[in-house]
Amino acid sequence: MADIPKTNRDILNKQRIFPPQGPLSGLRVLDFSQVLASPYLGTMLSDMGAEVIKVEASYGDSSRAYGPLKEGEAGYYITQNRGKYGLCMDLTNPKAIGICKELAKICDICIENWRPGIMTKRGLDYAALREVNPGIIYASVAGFGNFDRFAPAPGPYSPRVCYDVIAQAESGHQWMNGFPDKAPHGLDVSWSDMNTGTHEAVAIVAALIQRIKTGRGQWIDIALTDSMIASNENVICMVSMAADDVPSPVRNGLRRLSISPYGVFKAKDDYFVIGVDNDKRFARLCEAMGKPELARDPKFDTNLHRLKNRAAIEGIVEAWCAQRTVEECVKILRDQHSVPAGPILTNTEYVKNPHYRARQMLVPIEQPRAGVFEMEGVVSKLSRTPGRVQGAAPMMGEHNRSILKKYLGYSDKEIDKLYDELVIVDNIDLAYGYNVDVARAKAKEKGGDK
Amino acid sequence: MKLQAQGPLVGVRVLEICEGQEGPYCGAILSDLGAEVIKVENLEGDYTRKLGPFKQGESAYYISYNRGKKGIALDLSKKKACEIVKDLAAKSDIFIENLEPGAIEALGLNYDVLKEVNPGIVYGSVSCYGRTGPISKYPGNDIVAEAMGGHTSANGWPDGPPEPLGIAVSSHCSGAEFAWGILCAYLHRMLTGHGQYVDVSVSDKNISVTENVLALATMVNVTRGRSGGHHPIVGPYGVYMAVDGAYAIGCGTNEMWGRIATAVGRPELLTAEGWATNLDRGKNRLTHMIPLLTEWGKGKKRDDIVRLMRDESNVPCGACATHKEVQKDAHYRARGTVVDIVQPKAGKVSVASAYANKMSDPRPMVQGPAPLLGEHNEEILQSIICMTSEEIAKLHKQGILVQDLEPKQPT
Repeated sequence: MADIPKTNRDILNKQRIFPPQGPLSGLRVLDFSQVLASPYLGTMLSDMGAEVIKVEASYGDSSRAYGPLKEGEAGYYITQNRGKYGLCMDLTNPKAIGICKELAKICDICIENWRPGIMTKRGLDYAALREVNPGIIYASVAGFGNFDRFAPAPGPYSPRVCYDVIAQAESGHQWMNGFPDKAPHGLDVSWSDMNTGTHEAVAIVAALIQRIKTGRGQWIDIALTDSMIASNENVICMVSMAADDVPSPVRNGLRRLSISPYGVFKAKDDYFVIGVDNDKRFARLCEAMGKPELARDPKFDTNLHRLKNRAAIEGIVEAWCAQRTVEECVKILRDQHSVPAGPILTNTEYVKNPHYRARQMLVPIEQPRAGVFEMEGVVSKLSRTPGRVQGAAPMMGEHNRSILKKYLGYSDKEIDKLYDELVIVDNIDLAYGYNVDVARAKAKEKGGDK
Repeated sequence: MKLQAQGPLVGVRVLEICEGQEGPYCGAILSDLGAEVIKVENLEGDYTRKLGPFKQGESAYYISYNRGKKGIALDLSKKKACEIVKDLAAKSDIFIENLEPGAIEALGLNYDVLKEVNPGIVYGSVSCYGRTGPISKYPGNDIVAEAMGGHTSANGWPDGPPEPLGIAVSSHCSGAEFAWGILCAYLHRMLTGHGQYVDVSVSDKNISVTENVLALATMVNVTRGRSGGHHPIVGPYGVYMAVDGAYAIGCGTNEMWGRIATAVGRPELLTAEGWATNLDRGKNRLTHMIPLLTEWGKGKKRDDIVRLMRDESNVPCGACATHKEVQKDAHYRARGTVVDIVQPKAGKVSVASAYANKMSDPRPMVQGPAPLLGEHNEEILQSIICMTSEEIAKLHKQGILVQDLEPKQPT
């Protein structure tokens, strides 16, 4: 684009993504993700070395407007999209769809989390992409799963609209979260999105392993509700064992339902957690409290007995905690007696915690406008082929030009034409600002995607 | 009970010395995906065998995390038992452990030892704090990791205490992360022949799944508080009570709010002061929205509300299902997410799988029941390290192999 101001040219010229490093290096991902579940998945793939090309519709991923905001860049978007290349195009334009299909030919994996049916409407569903690339591994995330042709496991609820808050509800998690005498409440973050992204990542690498043997790709379709239902500890099995007239379990406030003493306790100055999940650890807890005889007391000697006498044993623990500060409790329990226990940290506390620093869980990245700040590191630590945070999150359409040149052999002139025809767009010239609503209005005005 | 393997990992052998949650859940995932997972237990077995509820002596907890695995049990305080495990590891592709810090070294089954007998082995450890860092020497579990990872502090109401997550979703999420790390390493091995060590910390995973919360601290230094699960900047977005249950609603736009306001008989609130924008509704959730919908929900049945909102008003809305409902629901049965298995003692029970049926070629499935203690001792030793029945009988007699095929119902 001819009218990019000089400073923004500089932004474009700076390489902010490193050469890939990790066990997935050499693999390429076409990422049609938005907001959280699949963006998080794409980041996991990027962290392990895959080259991830994020394709945004012309109005941008809506999380570009989610806070915290700094210099117009969104912490939400950056967190879920660091280390990716960014394309931005009008996905209602057949030319744009053609470009996506060309890219699908040279990609190993395609991920998406649009409402079921949207990718079919665009001509970018599994059926369409496997025609151009039979080996492609196509991974969808929807609330209740996909239902169009080739969908692995359609079900009656598949057409329903679903966000994280609904998936938490329908999977049983919210009913179990909170105090029994009060309304249940949502979990602290959008667990279903990130939990499903993580589960889907496992399926993708399993499919890659399978593809080495057979050469065939496949469609993976794990729904938000699937991963959350699978993440229910023992409760699905528990209710299947119970007679029909036994009521379903209900939330239990500060303590987990089927283990004791296990939950949040109050020390002299603040709350903290104790997690005694077996008899060995219970014996250590008794030792730590100076009451070793409790471990042999027939009222408390097994978890089943402790559950029957829950108020009594948890009362003893509460009384002990009430005389000490959190620091003292944790020191005695965790450090001196190897009882699982720990402080309850907030986000501004854990980012300062030396343990996370030692484990390189806080990694600085440099964004073009927001500057340098720290974000989550790579969770799985591999000794021989470690992954890494591969770099910054892209601005809208930041790599339009470089990706089309590098992989599809487009010339600058051809790319200029695509810009003129509004097949591809970007917001690097700041005409759209970083405001998604303005971008959307602008795209609409130009007759783009909506 | 014979296991049936189907899925992308058929032919991969996993040796698991894990107990509790994250490690066994990783093993269950690998089994769902078709791997042969051999669970190694000590004398008394995985401690979740003692966590209830129970049916005919079998534990719901143990079954949930260990379906589809084969079981071998040994007295690991005996050197010979550890030698046998080492022999099995020599014939395995993947080894996973989650014992307390130092325990696997004490058994002589740490990575440095096993890579001598099997250089290509992918060896994984999952633990509360990871195997490096200043507090890695302490044991922990999901509840501690959630607290350390910033979740507990933000779960609950602004005027109430911090609450643990009702269900240990973090242990499943971390178990899946562990499977991811392991399989990435296994993929690398397929391409190069090299094995490696994988270290996963549940606390690390907890701070990785915080949406924008970590950025909130590092970009603008804002501490996140508790909001009762209600969205602070859009609304209504959260859980509300009905007379016989609760439901969740996720309103994202003003148009949608208009439909909700009409459904609850207050159409004027679409444009009323304090209600008109998402920001208003988010900010005033405690004083406006929660009282309004709580009052409106009194005397109304949950399913009627969901029908009104979701089906008639086109608003994203769903019931806060109980687990009994989930377990019986036709949708999750159709998807293979909830499946029935037949345990040797407890009989037919249900378990849940994120993978069963969700991949098109080949389709993963829950391979079968969870093993009784030492149920497959003979089969495993015969087929993998070619022991004779006589040798195996001798090991049983010496107390090196153990077995309990008639578990007592705890009282």
